[in-house]
Amino acid sequence: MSEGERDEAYLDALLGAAATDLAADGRSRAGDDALIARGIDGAIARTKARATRGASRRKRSAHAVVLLAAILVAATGAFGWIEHARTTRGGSQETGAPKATPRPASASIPATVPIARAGEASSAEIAEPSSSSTPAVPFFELTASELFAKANDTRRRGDAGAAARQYDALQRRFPRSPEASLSHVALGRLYLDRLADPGRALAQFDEYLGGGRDGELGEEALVGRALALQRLGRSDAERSAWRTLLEAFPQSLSADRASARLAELH
Amino acid sequence: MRVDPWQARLALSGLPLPVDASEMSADPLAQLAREAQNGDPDAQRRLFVAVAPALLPPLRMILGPDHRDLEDVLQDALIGLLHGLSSFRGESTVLHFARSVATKRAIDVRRRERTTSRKLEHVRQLDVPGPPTPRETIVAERRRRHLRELLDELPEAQAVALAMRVVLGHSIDEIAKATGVPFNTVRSRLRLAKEALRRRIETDVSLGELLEEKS
Repeated sequence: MSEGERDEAYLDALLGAAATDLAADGRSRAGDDALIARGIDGAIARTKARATRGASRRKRSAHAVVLLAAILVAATGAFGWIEHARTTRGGSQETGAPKATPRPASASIPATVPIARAGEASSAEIAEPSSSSTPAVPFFELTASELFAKANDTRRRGDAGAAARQYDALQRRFPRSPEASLSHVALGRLYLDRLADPGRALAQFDEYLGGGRDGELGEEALVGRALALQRLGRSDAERSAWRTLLEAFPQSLSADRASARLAELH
Repeated sequence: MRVDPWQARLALSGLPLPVDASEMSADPLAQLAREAQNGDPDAQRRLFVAVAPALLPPLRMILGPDHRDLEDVLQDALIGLLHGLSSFRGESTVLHFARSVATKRAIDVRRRERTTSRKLEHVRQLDVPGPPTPRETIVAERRRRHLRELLDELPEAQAVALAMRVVLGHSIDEIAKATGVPFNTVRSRLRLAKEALRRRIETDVSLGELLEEKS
């Protein structure tokens, strides 16, 4: 084996060993089911938001086309009326009426300016929020899906405070939307994990659980609630929360954790 | 199906392997992917449910097992899959394609983080001395870290080729089909990536021990 071949074999072996190490990192873990469920919900919400924006854009484009057509029709009508008036005045001239001053050619298409304005307004209204090269859609114009996606993006960027405000705005503006419901769990985790505010986290989890929804994040919310109570030092309530979790989700990925904590609290 | 040494390593680790042509012809997700691409929300959800569990391993392998944005990167990978289906020509299974999309997305995230202060925070966290750890664990962690740093430093095309080879266990031919470049280009990218690894070893004497520690 030449030196080059030995070198190549060594590098392959080193990469192979590193690959084995990495593979160990890739193994599944407790909590993966909940993580995957949240990831899927988030992806669905963002996909819906995109579809909504696309439909909105098409609708506004259609409105712009209709407006353009109306303006052209009006301009054509006005042009015909002017021609008619000119013809009529031509007849009157023969009877001694004063001759009208000829209009400049451009003045016969008064629709030019309104058309341009309509185009500008349309493109401003349909600005794509997710594009960095276009201005963001004003907050109050966003749909529930868009607000949820925006808050998730903000959270991903690491700005926990801003994300919390956006989740809060979603819950106030669209309190009955599915996105607002999901956001209670997301915001609860944010308060719990990043903003060190277990009191508010608890309120968010309670809101989700009290919403009467058989939500797919029920298990996650119960775990979050128990953790929030633990951080608040409310042992009795925490004990009850873990028991509730075990009763509702005996196969929960957090069951071991719940049992261990219950043993500690006993 | 012939399993090469790279794939054997993944098999031992319990991770899914790439599939061969006979499996590709009967891809159970192909129809679902078409419906999802056509905008059927139910199909989109079912597709996400089908592929998401298989995307976590490559994401964790590249980003690290406890990466704070794992859930968000998973979201991005699922949305990237949906968008990527328009250019997907069935060169592999849908699941295979989805894992490639996730791998590229994870590399993107690492490279973006490299330029932010969060990377520094992460490094600082790594530097905090922890409880005593067996030497083998320390060496394995160093190997992982150096491979991930190599993925950060390489030109993107080389990083993607290397990750698909090492993380997903793809053959050169599979990488060529997935990335739409000639076989020899992939081979060249992998060769350059290995040269970069050798340069890292030459400049860091401690790296030389990494293989011996494994054996």
